[in-house]
Amino acid sequence: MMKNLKRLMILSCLGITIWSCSKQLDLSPQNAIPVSSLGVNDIPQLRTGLYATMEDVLFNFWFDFDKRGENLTGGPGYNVVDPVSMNASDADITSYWRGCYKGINTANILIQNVNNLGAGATTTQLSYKGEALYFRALIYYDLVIRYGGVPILLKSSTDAVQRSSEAQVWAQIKSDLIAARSLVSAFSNNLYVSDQAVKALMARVYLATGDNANAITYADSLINYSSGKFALSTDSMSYSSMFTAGQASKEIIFALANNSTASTHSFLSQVNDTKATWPYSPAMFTYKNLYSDASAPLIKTGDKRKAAVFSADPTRIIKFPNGKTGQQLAVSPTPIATPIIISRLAEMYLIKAEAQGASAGSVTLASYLTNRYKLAPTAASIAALTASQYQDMILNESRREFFGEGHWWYDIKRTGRTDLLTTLNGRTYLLYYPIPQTEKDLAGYTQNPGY
Amino acid sequence: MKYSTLITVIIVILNTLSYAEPVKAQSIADQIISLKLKHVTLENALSQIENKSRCKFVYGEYVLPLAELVSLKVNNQSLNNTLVRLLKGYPVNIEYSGNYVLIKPKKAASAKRSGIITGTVIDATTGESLVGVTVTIKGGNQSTITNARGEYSVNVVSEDAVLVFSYIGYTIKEIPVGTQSRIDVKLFAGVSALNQVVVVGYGSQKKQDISSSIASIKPDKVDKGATNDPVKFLQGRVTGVNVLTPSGIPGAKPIVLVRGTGSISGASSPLYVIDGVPFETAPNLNPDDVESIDVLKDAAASAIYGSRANSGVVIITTKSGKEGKTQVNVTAHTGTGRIYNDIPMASAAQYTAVMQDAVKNYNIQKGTSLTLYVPPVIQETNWVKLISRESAVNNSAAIDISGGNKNTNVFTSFGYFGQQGILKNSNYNQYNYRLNLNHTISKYFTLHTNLSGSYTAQRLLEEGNVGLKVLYTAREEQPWYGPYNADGSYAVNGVNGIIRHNPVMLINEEIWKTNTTEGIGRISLDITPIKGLTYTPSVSAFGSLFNNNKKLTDKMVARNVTAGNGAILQDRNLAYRYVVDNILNYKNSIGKLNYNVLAGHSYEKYTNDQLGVYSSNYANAAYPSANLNSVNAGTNIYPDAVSYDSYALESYFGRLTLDYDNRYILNASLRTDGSSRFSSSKRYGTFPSVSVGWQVMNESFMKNSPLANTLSQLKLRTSYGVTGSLAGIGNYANQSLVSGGNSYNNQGGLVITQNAQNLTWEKAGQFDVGIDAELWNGRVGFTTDYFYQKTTNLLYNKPVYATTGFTSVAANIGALNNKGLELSLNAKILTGEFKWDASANITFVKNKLLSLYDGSQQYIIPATGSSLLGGGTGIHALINGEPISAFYLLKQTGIYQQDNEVPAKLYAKGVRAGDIKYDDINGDGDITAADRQYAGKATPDYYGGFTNNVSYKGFDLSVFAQYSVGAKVYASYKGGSPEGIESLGNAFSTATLNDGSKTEQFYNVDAYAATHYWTGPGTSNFMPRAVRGGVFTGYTNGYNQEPSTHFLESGSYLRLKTVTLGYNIPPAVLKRYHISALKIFASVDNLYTFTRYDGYDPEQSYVTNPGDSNYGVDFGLQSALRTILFGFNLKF
Repeated sequence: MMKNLKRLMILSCLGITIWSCSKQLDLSPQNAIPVSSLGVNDIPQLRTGLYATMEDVLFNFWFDFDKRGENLTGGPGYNVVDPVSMNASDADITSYWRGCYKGINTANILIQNVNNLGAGATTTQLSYKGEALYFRALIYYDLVIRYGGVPILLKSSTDAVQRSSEAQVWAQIKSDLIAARSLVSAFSNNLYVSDQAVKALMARVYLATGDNANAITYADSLINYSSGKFALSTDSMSYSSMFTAGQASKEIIFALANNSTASTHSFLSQVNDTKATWPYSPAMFTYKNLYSDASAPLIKTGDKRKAAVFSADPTRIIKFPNGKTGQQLAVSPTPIATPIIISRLAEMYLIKAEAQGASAGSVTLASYLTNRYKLAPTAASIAALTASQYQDMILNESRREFFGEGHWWYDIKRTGRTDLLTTLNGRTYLLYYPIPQTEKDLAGYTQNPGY
Repeated sequence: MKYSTLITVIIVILNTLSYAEPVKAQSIADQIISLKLKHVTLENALSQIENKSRCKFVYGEYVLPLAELVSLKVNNQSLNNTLVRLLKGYPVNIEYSGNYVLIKPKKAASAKRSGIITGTVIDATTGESLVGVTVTIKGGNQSTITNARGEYSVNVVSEDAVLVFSYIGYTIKEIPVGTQSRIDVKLFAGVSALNQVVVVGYGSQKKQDISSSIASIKPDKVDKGATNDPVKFLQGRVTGVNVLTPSGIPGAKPIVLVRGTGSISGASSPLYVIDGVPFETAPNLNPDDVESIDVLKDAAASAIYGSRANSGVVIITTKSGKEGKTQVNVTAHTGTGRIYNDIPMASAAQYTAVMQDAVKNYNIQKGTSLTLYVPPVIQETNWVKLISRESAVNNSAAIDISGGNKNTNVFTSFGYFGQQGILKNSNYNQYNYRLNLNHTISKYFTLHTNLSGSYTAQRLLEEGNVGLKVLYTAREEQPWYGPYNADGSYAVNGVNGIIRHNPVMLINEEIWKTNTTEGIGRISLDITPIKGLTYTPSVSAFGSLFNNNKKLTDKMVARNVTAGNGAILQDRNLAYRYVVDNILNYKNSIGKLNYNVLAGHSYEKYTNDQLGVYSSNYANAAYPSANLNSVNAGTNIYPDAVSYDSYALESYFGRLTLDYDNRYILNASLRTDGSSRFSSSKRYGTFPSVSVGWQVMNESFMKNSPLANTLSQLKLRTSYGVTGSLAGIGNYANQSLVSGGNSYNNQGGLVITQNAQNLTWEKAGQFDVGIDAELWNGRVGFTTDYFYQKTTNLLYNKPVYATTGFTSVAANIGALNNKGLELSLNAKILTGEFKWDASANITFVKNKLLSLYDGSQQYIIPATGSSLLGGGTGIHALINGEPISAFYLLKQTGIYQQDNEVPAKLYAKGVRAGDIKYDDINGDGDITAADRQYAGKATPDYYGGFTNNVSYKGFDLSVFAQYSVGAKVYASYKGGSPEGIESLGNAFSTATLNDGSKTEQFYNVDAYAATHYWTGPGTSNFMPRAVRGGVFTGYTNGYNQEPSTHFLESGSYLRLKTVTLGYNIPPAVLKRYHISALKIFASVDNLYTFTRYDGYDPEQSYVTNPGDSNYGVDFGLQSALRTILFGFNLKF
C-alpha cells in the first residue's frame, strides 16, 4: 500500500508539472499589433495607412457619378437600367457611406495621435495632421454632395452622432481645409497632399458653395503657380499619359498612386477590360456625340481628348489603359496601377471660368481650350455667349474633360440642370442620395425626402 | 481508504432511503407468511417473500440460479420453514441477522477442485465455431481465447468459478462451472442495448448507467451507400441530429445541426472529438475505421466539453484490435451516379418564343420598336449537358488488419475513396491510413497510441459566387449557339455572339486543385497504481496542410488576361493543434453503490498560418508561359491570402457517476474553461451539469408486477446542464489592433482594424427529460426525450452605424431557445430464420429568437456575396419570436390579370397585367422594401428516418429512408436577382456578333418558365409575363425579380436514401478457402425522393450556418446523385 501511495505521489507531481500552463492563454496575432503599443515612431505608418484607405474610399464610388449621369451604360455582359434611380437599401449606397466614414475615422485617429503630442509635435508630424485634415474635408465633400447634411465627427467616437445641416458640413470642410493649409508643405510630388492640393480642393468647394470670389482666387493660385510645376497637356498623347502609372504629368495637382500590389483598384476591369466582359461601356449617345465638333455660334473642332478616351470600339473607355495596343493611347506598363486623380489643372480653369462668368471667363476658357482643340473657340466668341449658352458650354467642357472621372452627376446637380438627365423624369428627390436604410435604422437619422 | 465527504453524504442518504423501517431481529425467522407461487423465477420468488415479510435477502452472485422456475405454496408458515422448502434443492445455508436473511453457499469439501475445463464456442444461429472468443474466470486475471476451431481450455481451481465468454458483436455469457469439466457454449449475436458501451466525454459508460441524452451509431451496422463521410451516417438514423448534404460537389462536407440552431454566428455545428482530439470541423476519416459515433445531445452529456458544447458534441471512436486471431477485412464498392431530378432548360424554339414576347411587351409598354435578333443558323445546344458527365463514378476500397495477444493489440487500415461530380472535371479522392496500437506494459501501465493520416485531392470548379459560376452560366447561355467557332476555337462572349462566359471553356481551361494532408497522432498512458484508480496523461497532435492551386491556361480568356485573377494562384494553409490532457479516474463501490470519479485538466492550442501568392496575367507577357505549373520568380507576383490565427483553451473538469443498485443513477459534471480570446481578468467560465436516472424495472415491486412480463427495461431520466460557445468571438477580440499591410506608394502602413470588444461566452442552459424502454426482452426498444434549451448572450456581429469607423462589432446581443421532442422506436419484428428488424425515429424542433440587441424587434441580415444569391438586399431576418433562418421577403399573392387591377403607384412604376401581385402589407398602394414579411424558415419542423432490415438464409435486404418536413428553400438560381432562369427577358446584355455588330441578347430560361408564363388574363396566377428589362423603375432587380416568395418553395421531402441487397456466401463454401465471411451486395443511394421541390435537391444550401444570409439558398450547385453500387466485404 505504501509503495502504491508513493507511486501515486510521484505521478501526481508529474501531472502537476504538465498542468502548469495557464500562462499559455496570452496570445497575440502575428500580423497585427495592439493599439497600446503604437508609438510616436508609428505615426508615419499611420499616415501611409490613411493614404491606402483613401484609395479604397475614392475608388469605391469612382464610376458612380458617370453611371448616374448617363455617361455610362452596361458593358458587355451587363446592363444598366434606370441609372438615376436609388433605394435606401441599395448595397452600393450603403457601401459609399460606410467607406467614407471608415476613411474619416482613419483620418481622425491620425489627427488625434498628432494632437496627443501637443507642443512637441514636429513640423513633419504636423504636416501629416494637415494631410489628414485635407482628406477629412475631401470625404465630407464627397458625402455632402451626395447625401446633403451628414453626421460630423471630428474625433473617433462610438456615440451615435446625428446629421448636421448641409451648410454645417460645408463650413466644416472649409474649416478643415483652412487648418490644413497652414500645416502641409508646398507641392513637390503629385502623389502626396500639398498646399496646392488643398487650394485646388478649396477652389472646388468655394465654387460649390457659391463663393465665386474665393473660387477664382484659389483656382488662380494654381493656374498662375509660378514655379512652372503645373501645365496643361497640349495633345492627345500627353492628355492620355496622365492616366498611366508613374507619369509625372504636369496637369496633376494631386493623385493617389494606386500601385499597391496587395490591394489593387482596377479601372480597366470596370470599363476597358482585357477579357470579354466588363461592367460599364460609354452610353451610345455619349460615345457618338461627346467629342463632336461644334458649329456657330461657337466653333470648336478636333477635340484632342477624343483619341485619348474613345477608340473604334464603342464598348471601351480607353482613357483607362489596359496594356493592350489599340485599347489605350499612351502606353502603360502597369495598367493595373492607374493613378486615382483627385485634382488636376484643367479643373482649375473650368472653376475659374465658371466663377467669372462669360465676359471675364472667356479669356480663361480660351487659354484652356486652345490646348484641347485643334481649332479652339476664340475668347471673343465665348464672350458673346448668353449666360445659359455659357453654362451649357462650361458643362459640356466639364463633361468632355472629366468623362469617367466621377464629376458629371454633381455638375448637373450643382447647376440645377436636371434637364440633362433624361431618365430623371421629374424625380428630383433623386438628386439627394438616400441615407442607407441600415444606417438610418441603427443611428436614427432622418431620411432624405422622397425615399 | 478515505472517501470524500460528498460521497459519504450521498451514501448515507441512499442507505437511509432504502433501509427504512427496520423490524425486530428475533421475529424475522419466525414471521408467518402465506404464499402461492407457480412457475415464477427463483428471483421473483425471493422478492415476493421479501415483500411479504419485510425481510431483506443478501446473497452473492451465482449462489442461486435465479432464473430457474419454481413453484411453492405455503399457508401460515414461518419464514424459515418457507425458505427451507424453497431452497432445499440448492447447496446453501440460511442465516438471519436483524432483518437480513443471508443465503450463503454451503462450504462443502468437494467444492474445492482443480482441473481443466474445455469446450467449444459456436454462434447460436449459424452453428459456426467462433474464433478468438475471450474466456475469462470472473474476478480473476486468468483468460484465454478460443482457437481456430472455436475450442478453449482453461484451468479452474474452484467449483464456484464462473466462466465469462465475450466476443465482439455478441452478448456476453456467464456460466458457473460447478462440477462440469466440459462446457460448450452458444453465443448470440447482438448486444443487449443496455449493455452497450457508450462513449461519453473523457471516458465511456455502460448504456444503462447513462442518465443524459446520447445517441450512438456503429457505422459497421449502417448501410453506407455511396457516402464516404461517417458523419453523414447520422442522417435519419438518430433523433435530434439534422444532417444535410448542401450540394453534390464531390467532397463537400455535410451540415450538422444537433437539436436545432443553437447560435446565430457560426457555432451551430457541433464539436467533433475524434479519439479524444477536439475539432471544430470533422477531419477526413475513413468510415471503415470508425467503431462508433456518439452524439452528446443534451447539455448534461456535453457540458464536460464546456465552452464549445452549445451545439452538441459528436464523439467518433476508431476501432482497436482484439485479442485473438488476426482478422483481415477487405471491403470495396464501385458504382455510378446520375442526376435524379434535372432542371430542363428551354430549347432554342421555346427561348425564341419567350424573348419575342418579352420584346413585344416592352415595345407595347415603352412605345419602341425593338426586334429580337435571331441568328441565321440555330445550333441547338444544351449547355448544361455539354459540361456534365453522363454518369459519375464512385469507388471505394479499404483493407484493415486487426489482432493481438494478451498484452498488445493492433488495428491498422488503409482506405481509398474516389468520387466524380456530375460536372466534368470535378472529382474527389481520399486516402486514409491508420494505426491504433494498445500495449499493456505491466500491471500498472497500458499504452495507447492512435496514428492516422489522410490525403485528399479535389478538383474543383468555380460553381459558387466566387467567380465564374460555371453551372449557373451554362443554364443562362443562349441555346442557339454552340461552344466552338468554325475554326475549332472557343466561342467567346463579347466576341462571338454568346453573352455568358463559354462554360465549356470555363471548365476545361481553369485547373483548380486543392489537396489536404492531415495527420492525427495521440499517445496516452493508463497508469493504474492501485485498483480502481487510473491516471491517464495524453498528448495529441493534429496537423493539416492545405494546398490550393489554381491555374488558368492561355485559352481562358475569361480570366487569364486580367491581372488580379492571376495566371497561377498558390495558397498554403498550415494548421496545427496540440492537446495535453491529464485525467484521473477512480472507480469503486460501497455495497450496492458504484461510483466513478473523474477529474482532469486539458490544455490545447491551435494555430493556423496561411500564405498565398498569385502571378499576374499572360497579357503582355506579364507571366511567361502557360506551360508553367507553379508561380515563378518574375516581376508580377502578388500576395494572395496571408493570415495568422491562434487560440488556446485551458480547462479543468470533473465528473461524478453514482449508480446505486442499478436503480438510481446520478451523473454530475463541471468544467471550467479559460480561453485566450478573453482578457486575463474574465477569461474563465464554468459549465456545470447534473442528470439523474431511475431504472424502474430493477425495483423489486416492478419485478413482481404483471407489467414485468412485457416491460423488460424502463429508465426515466432527467437532466440540466449549462454549456457555452465562443465561436462568434474573434481570436484576439479582447485587443484593439493595428494591422499592417496597408501600403501606399511602396511604403508600408498601419490601420486600426479592431477595437477591443467586451465579450463573454454564449451560454446555454438545457433541460432534458427522457424515457428509455425495452419490451419483451429487447424485442422492442423505445426512447423519447423532450428538451428545452435557452441560449443567452448570443454572439453576433452586431451592426453599428458606420460613423464609428466600423460596420459591425461582435457583441452579446440576445437570446434564443430550442424546444424539441424526439422519439425513436426499434423492433425485432421477426426473429428466427426469416428476420426483420425495423426502426423509425422522428424529431420535432422549434427554434425561436427571444431577443435582439438594444431592444430591437428585428434585423435584416445584410446580403453577403454575390447579389445573385439573394438580390443584394438580404433575404433573411432575425425576428423576435421567429426562428433563426427566417426568410424575410415580399409575398406573392398572384398575378395581376388586368391592367386596371394594378394600383396607381405601381402602374406609374411600369407594373402591368401579367406582373406579380405582392402583398402590400402597409397598404400604401406601393410595393417597397417595407412590404417584406416573415415567410417561413430554412430549418424543418420535424425530420427523421426509417430503417428496415430483412434477412433470410444468406440474403439480407436493408431499406433506409429519411424525411424532413417544414423547411423552405429559396431557389436563387431561378431569380430574385437581375438574372436567373425565370428572368423571362429581364436579363439581357449586349453581344458582339461575328461580323462585329452589336446586338441585344437575352439569358435563357428554364423549360417550365418558358411554357407556363403569363400570356393573357387567366393564363397563369404564378409565373409572370415575359418583358424585356427596363420597363420598371425603382426596383433594383426588376419588379418581377425582386426577392419574394415566388422563389421560395417547400423543401419537405421523403427520400428512399439507400436500399441494399446483400448475399452472404455460406460459410461452408468459404471454409475451403480459409475465408470466414464474404458478402456481396448491390446498393442504390438516393433511390427516390418524394418532394414538391423542383430544383436538384431540397437539401441544397449555399452555406452551412443557419444564421448566415445565404442559408437555405439553392444556387443550383451540382446535384447529389442517384448512385448504383456493387461491392463486397471479405473477412479472413
